[in-house]
Amino acid sequence: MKAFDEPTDLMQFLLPYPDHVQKLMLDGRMKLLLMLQPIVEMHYDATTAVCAGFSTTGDLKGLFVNLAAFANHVTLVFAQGARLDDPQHRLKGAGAQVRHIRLTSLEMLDDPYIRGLIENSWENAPKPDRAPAYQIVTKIYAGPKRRP
Amino acid sequence: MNSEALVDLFDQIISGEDIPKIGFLLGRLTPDQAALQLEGMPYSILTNLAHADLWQVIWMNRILGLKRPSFREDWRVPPAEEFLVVRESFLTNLAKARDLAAAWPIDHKMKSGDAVLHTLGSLAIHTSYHIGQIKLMARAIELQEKAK
Repeated sequence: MKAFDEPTDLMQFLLPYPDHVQKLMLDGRMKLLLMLQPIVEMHYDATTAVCAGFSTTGDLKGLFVNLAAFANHVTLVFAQGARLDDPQHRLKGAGAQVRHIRLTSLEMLDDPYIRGLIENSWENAPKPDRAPAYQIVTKIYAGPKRRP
Repeated sequence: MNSEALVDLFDQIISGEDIPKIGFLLGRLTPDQAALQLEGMPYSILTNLAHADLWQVIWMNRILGLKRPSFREDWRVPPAEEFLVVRESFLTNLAKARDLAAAWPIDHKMKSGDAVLHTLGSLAIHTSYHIGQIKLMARAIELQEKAK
C-alpha cells in the first residue's frame, strides 16, 4: 500500500549531493506533496540544480512551486513569486516573476507564513476544469551540468 | 459505486472542490490551536483528526487483511506536540486510500470487490464528514481569537 509513487529518478539525480541536501529534498518533497495533493510532480535534472516541482496542470504552465537542490543547500522557488503577498519580505529575487527563499530546515515548511506563501502561489496557479491525475513527470536537460 | 467514481470522490475531498483543500486547512493551524478544546465543543481538532485517521487505518487494514489498531485508541486526546505527526499520518493515509481506488483492481482480503469498494466509500464519506467538522472548529477558534 503506497500513497505516492517512489521518486526513483529524483533519488538517482540526488545521489552526488551531500546527505543533508538529499534528505531535505526528499522529506521536503513529501511534506509539500501531502499539503498540495492531488497534484502533478515535475522532477528535473537541470543544468545547475535538481528540482522537485509541483504543477496544477501537469506541465510548465502550471508549475508554481519547486524545491531546488544546489551544491550545498536547498531553495524553495516560487515561479510567480513576484505576485505573492510577502509583507515580511522573506522572499529574495528582483526579477519580474521568480522569487525564492533558502530552506534551512524541514520545519520551515511547517511555518504558517511559508505555508501561506505556498497556498497563495497555488491559488494563483492556473487550474484546469478537472485536476490532472497524479503522476511524476521527469525531465533531463541535455548538455553539461554545473551541479554536483 | 465503481472505482472510477471513488477516485473522483477522493479527489474532490482532498483537493477541496466545494470544501476547503484539506492540506491547506490543516496547514494553517498551529499545534496549540489544533489541541485546543473550545467551550461547548466535545473535543479538539487534534482529537477529531486522530479519530478520523484511526478509522482510515482500520478500514484499509480490513481491506488488506492487516491487523487492525486497537479501538482503545479511538477518541484519544493527543498532546499538541503530536499535531504534525497526526496531520501527516492523516494526509498520508487519505492518499493511500485514494491510491487503493486508483489502482483498482487490487489484491484484497475481503469477500468481494464490491465489499472493498463499499468500504472505501465509507472511508471517504467518514473522512469528509470529519473534515467538515474540522473546518467549523477552525473557524470557531479563529473567531474566538479575533474576539480577544
